[in-house]
Amino acid sequence: MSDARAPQWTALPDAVLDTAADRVDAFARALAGGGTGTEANGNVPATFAFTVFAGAESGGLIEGIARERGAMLVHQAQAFTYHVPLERNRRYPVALDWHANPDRDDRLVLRGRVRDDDGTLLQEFTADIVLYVNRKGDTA
Amino acid sequence: MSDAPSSFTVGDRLPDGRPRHLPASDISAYAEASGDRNPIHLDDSAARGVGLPGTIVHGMLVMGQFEAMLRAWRPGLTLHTLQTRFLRPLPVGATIHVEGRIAKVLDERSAIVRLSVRDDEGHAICVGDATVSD
Repeated sequence: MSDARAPQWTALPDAVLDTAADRVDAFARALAGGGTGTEANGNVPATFAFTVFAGAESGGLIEGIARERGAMLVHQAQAFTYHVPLERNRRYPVALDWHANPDRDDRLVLRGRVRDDDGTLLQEFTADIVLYVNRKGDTA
Repeated sequence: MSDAPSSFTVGDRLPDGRPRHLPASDISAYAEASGDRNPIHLDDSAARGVGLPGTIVHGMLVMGQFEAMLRAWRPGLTLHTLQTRFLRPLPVGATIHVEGRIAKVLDERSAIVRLSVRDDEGHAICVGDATVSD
């Protein structure tokens, strides 16, 4: 029996997560405030995969949803699950989708699933996003 | 197989890291590196225009501090899950303090670490759980 409350995921255009070493290192340094970040041990930072939304066609579509409502995107919660460590200097296919919160029309959930070329699931992440609208006036 | 000293004890606290100041230059650097140039992080007037008191720090930058703390604690650990929730926006220019403690031992090699980021006044900004193993 299907669950009427189960989220209805809407697919977004696929994206590519580029783990080129210079990009990963720059991201790690920015996380660390300019100091040595996780690049020192060769890891791809745990939150790096989320950057796939930025600049991707999918990210633009989500921003468009916000713009239509006169809202800004504000992160409320994130969840990452790591199955296999990502490697540097790879280009991973990422399937992206989203669903609206059935209880709150000012909330949506983004999901990304990073796979290896053979389809193995490496990492998945979700982000609960608030479509934040200023209801108090033009300024705080 | 060794019963190496890799066990976790509920309640044990992770070593405190140094407080981290987050000036606008750090936020700009993170925006550049992550590609997240949402104006609420970079443009004070845009942030005020949507009702915020001013620019706020990227949530993913705050979340990223948890990984740094975990790896400073046990450099070789494996991170299985990381979940976080933001409780209040963090103004650009704030200083944060990251804390962690063992919340649950899953087996002799793995545990759940409860993490939090607080501002200088002690307000909880972000809380989360990480599942880790040695």
